[in-house]
Amino acid sequence: MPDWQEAEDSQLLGQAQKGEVDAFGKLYQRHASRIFRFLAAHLDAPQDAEDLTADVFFRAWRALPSYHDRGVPFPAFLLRIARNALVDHYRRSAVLNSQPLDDVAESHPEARTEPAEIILTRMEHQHLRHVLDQLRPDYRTVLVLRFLSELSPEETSLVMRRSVGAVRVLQYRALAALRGLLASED
Amino acid sequence: MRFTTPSKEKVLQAALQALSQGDSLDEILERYPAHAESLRPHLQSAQWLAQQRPTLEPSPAFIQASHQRLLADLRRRASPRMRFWRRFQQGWGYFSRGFQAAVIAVFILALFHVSAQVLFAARTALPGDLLYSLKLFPEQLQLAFTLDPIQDARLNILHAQTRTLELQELLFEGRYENLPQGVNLFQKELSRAQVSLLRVERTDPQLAHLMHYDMQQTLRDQVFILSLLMESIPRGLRAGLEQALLAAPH
Repeated sequence: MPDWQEAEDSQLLGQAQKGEVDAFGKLYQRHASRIFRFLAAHLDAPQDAEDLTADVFFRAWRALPSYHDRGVPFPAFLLRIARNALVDHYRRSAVLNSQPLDDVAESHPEARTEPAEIILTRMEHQHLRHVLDQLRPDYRTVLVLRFLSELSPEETSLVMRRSVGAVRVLQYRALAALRGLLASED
Repeated sequence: MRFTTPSKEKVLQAALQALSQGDSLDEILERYPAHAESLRPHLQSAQWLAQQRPTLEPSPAFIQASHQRLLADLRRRASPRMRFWRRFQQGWGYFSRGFQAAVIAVFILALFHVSAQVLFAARTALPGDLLYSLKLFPEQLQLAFTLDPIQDARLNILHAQTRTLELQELLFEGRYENLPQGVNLFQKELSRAQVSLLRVERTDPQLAHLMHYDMQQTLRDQVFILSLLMESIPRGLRAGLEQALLAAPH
């Protein structure tokens, strides 16, 4: 993330910490997409990613009074929360026997009138999920954070709680593993 | 060629950076001809992932709607009462850090104060007292760090004198059961003082003679008082003290 963006984030964070809802709203607009992409890359149903995205920002709002910029940029802070939210989601799903994908689609108003483009996007999403699911969890996480959530290696290292060097090595191996998977599909 | 060394991983990182800034695959590979063959599959994977990004992009309608929902919900939560609670939480965060620092500072001060009090109390401790070893510790420390034999001798003489004063205190207080320990310590200090005076004598016999004379003068009065007090001691304990006083220079 460029320095000027970080400075703006820091200013907005200061205002949000004083309880200014609009400042937090601006932070939401700046970062919601990357959080959604991270979650969607791990979840089958886009509506789950939507619900969890909202949940991540609520959690972040609640955690704001205790958030102090100690070398953890705001996107990394959000993505740490997103990882925790994902874990909670998986736990809930395991307990509640998650709804089959068809049922979820049935209950979503958009799904009943899906145009061809939406179906195509869904198929591409499922294909991406299928490919990512075949990777080791840490490979999947590093690739999603680096190339789908567009974090720098430094930010990725903060989310994954590893050194930057370890992230570079992991990224190298994960890209090689992904190439192997894609080659086997061709 | 395989990317196994950190420098190769850095080349890959630089190539990925260029890719994210819009450089084409061929341009990047031309920049790194030595690594082109191994870079290509990695960069192709990264490119494929970047191409998938639109698939995962949330719909603008969702962003807009959820943004509105979030603001409405947060405003509802940020009612005056909640705002107060939130400010309290934030204030508590700062306060708690300040409080922790203050607690640590108070703890250190209290520890320092207690240590000083204990050491002060130990100064008047006598053989058999709980704090007596704390009184001896600084003396031993001082001796351990004294390299000059003359200073060493002076300290030993001073400590021998302190032991005689302690013996007097014990006798005044009628603590005869602690006399053997006191006598034992006095004898040790005395023999140390004599040994250190012999060491001084090797380098400066005149000074050693003067110091011995001083020690004699100093201890003589103490020993005299002790010999008077000895009359009050039970006979069984008297022998040890008598022996120690005979060894003292007088």
